[in-house]
Amino acid sequence: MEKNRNRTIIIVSVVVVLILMSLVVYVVQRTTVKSTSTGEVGTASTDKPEDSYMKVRVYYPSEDKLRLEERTISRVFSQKKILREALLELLKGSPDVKRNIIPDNSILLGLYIGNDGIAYLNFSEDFKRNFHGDVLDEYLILKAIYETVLANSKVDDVRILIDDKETDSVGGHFSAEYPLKQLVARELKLD
Amino acid sequence: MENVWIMKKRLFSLLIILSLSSVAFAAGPEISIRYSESPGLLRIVFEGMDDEFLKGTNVYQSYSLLKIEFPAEFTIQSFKETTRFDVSKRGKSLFVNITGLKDIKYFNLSDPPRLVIDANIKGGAEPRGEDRKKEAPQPSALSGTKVVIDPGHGGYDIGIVGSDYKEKDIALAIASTIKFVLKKANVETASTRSSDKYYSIRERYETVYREDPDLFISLHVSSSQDFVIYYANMDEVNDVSAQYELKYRQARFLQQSQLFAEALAKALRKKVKRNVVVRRLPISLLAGISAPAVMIETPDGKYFEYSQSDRAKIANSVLKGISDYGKE
Repeated sequence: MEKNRNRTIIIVSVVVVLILMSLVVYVVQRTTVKSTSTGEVGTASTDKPEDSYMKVRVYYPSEDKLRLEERTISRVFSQKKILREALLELLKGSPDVKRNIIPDNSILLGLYIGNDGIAYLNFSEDFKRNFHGDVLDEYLILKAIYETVLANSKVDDVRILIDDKETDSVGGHFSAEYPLKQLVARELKLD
Repeated sequence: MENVWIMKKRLFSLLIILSLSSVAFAAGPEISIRYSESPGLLRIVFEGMDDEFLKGTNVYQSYSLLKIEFPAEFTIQSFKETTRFDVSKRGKSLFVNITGLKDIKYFNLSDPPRLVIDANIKGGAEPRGEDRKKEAPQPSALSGTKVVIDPGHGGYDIGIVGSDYKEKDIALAIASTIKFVLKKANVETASTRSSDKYYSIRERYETVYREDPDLFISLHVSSSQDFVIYYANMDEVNDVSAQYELKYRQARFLQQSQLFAEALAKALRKKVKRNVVVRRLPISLLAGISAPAVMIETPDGKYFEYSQSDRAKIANSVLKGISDYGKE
């Protein structure tokens, strides 16, 4: 009789512990989701049910300015993945832009966030080879990348690499030897 | 007796010609290039080769570029520089860049053996003679001025591509015309590139530092239907030593660059009769130049002919802009 009673207590204890652990895991997960959606990792936001989706902010070159669009993506939790998704959306282009100037077949081969606060974006050779725009087009592409990165992360600056290597320029008008901030951070004002 | 004397004289002349020919053959033929022009047609004639050499010659066309492949090494004996086309030699090949080229016909003629290329070109003939003289400002006012011309892109960096043109070729052709017009006005010129080769921004800077010009003009093509003239945009650099850093060298010349851009815009509006926009943009290429510097973007080939006449108008506008800027 005593033996059965002890056994019941053990089983009940195990069940209670399991329930408590599940509760803890649930609460921790909820806290992380909330911090992501309020911009602790980036400014990406969530307003879809079930928290399985999130929004990223993407800047697209459109005529002679940038156009900000929010894109819904499957929820990811690391800053790097959010940034990657946002850049992939940028490379896809926007259906609402009349003349897409993002170079065809461009692939984001890699993304590395350095301790210096710089995001190093490694694009495929197509990004450079298939750029056939003028000076303003190149400026808008570089600025779109920079603004998209800053809008979705805590990164300070952006550096572009082509096929794992440093490149002197993407389109022949702007130097890519330095991070982009000093080039594109200011507000674009065309007469 | 007289006949014998004439025969001897002819024989002697023949021997001299033969001996000279053998010397010339050893060094490869010396080819001379001449051309003539009528509206819509440019005829280029290559002389100075023998029949065998001529037979082994092939001509290929790619957009505005002709490649003339000779069977052996050769030298260019004479070629009077022209705004009509550019010529560059590479190994056994000769490259001829003709702006506005539509198509060609070529044939071999004998006595003397020569290759004749008839090029059909867009638009009419460039203003010549008196017309050009009327447009050109007083040369003496500009002598001593040195301008570096920077034809954008080159090599694998093609720039904007249209159905029958590439930005790199247009930029090079306009640069050649501008150089020709400026030289006639006693303006000293230098180029960051004079062939279809890629040069990085840093290499272009090096040319500018070496040449130490009074003015710098970069030539590109726009995606729009307008001419756009850019000058650099950068934050004020108060630290004097920082003004000599590569990326801030333009800081001391911003005001002059703006004046230069406006003078060029005024001249282009008047001569080319197109809308010309002047803009500021932090263009790296301009930021590193320690002289008044602008980037001229000519309209997209969809909206502009780029005939020889058009190129001449652009070149004369540049000359007028330089002249007017100098007066301010």
